[in-house]
Amino acid sequence: MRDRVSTQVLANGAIRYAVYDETGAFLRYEYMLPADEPTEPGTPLNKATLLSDETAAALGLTEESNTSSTVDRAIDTLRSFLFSGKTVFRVHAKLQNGNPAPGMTISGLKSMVDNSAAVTDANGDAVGYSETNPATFGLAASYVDLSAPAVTVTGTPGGITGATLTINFVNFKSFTASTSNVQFSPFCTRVDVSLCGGGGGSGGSGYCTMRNDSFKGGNGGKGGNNGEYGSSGTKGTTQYNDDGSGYARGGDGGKGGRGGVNIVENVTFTANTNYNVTVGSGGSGGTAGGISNAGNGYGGGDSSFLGVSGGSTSSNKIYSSFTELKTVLNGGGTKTGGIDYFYNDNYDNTVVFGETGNPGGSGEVAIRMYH
Amino acid sequence: MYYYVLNEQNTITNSIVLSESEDPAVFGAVADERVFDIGETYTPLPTETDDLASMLIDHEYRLTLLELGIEGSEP
Repeated sequence: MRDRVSTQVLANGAIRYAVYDETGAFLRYEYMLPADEPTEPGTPLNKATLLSDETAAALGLTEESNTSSTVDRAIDTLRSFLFSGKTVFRVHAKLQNGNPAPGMTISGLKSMVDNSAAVTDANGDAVGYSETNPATFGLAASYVDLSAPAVTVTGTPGGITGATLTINFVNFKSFTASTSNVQFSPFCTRVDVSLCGGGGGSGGSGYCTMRNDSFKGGNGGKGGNNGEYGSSGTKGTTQYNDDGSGYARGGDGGKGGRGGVNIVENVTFTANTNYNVTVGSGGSGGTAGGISNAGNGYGGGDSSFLGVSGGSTSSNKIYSSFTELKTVLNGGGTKTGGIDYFYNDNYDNTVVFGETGNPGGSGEVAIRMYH
Repeated sequence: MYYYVLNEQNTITNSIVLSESEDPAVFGAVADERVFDIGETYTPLPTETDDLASMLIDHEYRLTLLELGIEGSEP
């Protein structure tokens, strides 16, 4: 399509018109401009408003065929597409507050122009076709702050079938394992991050006999994110009673320290950007005491997200919901030493072997999201 | 399975929880069934090639002992 290009135009925009008499004889030129002082100038009739080059190209009406790239041909192209056997849908994506959701890529809906995934426009609408009928639509991106139950619609071949996708805001999310590709939608306005490190493992429990109670249980491991230090393991104990009975008790493995905690509000993030959530693991329990001291518990790992890491033991609470907090106590509990009782006849057979310590609990990353 | 994050010196700097659907490499981590503590140096498990090379060396060693008529012992 082409715009008219005049050569006889005054500086004020007035265009030259020719005046003729009834015999067709030329009389004079006159220059004219509308002077009706409209309250609304209206949409001008030109290439940009009728059929732009971009729209023409998208419909396959190329520059070479530009003279014939008329609105009529564009409509005819769309009409032939509608009747090409594909079922066309108009999916309206709306937020839970009723506002349209622009810029959302709709899964199950393909652009009629280039077969790419269809994206909603400023009105929250996306028009395209589905390769299946009935068709199921949802959000293509898995935003952590949005949820949109998929909708299934049966389309009418040759026509356009409407469907509405309702998008709900999610304002809380907890991660108990490291997760990649976490994205926030353009509707998320603020993110608060709370996290805790993995708990330290407890020390293994100790070995002990009636003749040797010198071996110790292992010490507890330290919690991640600057968490607590574990407690010390204890030495084995023996006891002889007057009646000839007694017992050997292995030393306890010290309990693991809980993970440190950190809360940072209103962290910096960018919508439609992939982030990784790292969740620290709980430390393994220390090795069991053989004829030696038991092993110390292992340290818990560090959690981090959106640049928030570190932590301290000044608090032990992280988010459990958008409004609530919960207490973190994830260090491996004390590994109690075993006990073996004896009577005179089995004094030398009284042996307690240690056991592997308890692992610490995993860390956690819990976030609050605002819209 | 344990997942350890390493620095350039192969020192374990973190130990993380990872689901099987995630790629450890995305987090700069390696998967291993052995227990290490944070701060320890990570020693990779021998590869199949390493195992084969060790077996070949051992085989050559024993052949040499046989040729020399010497009683074998563990290398």
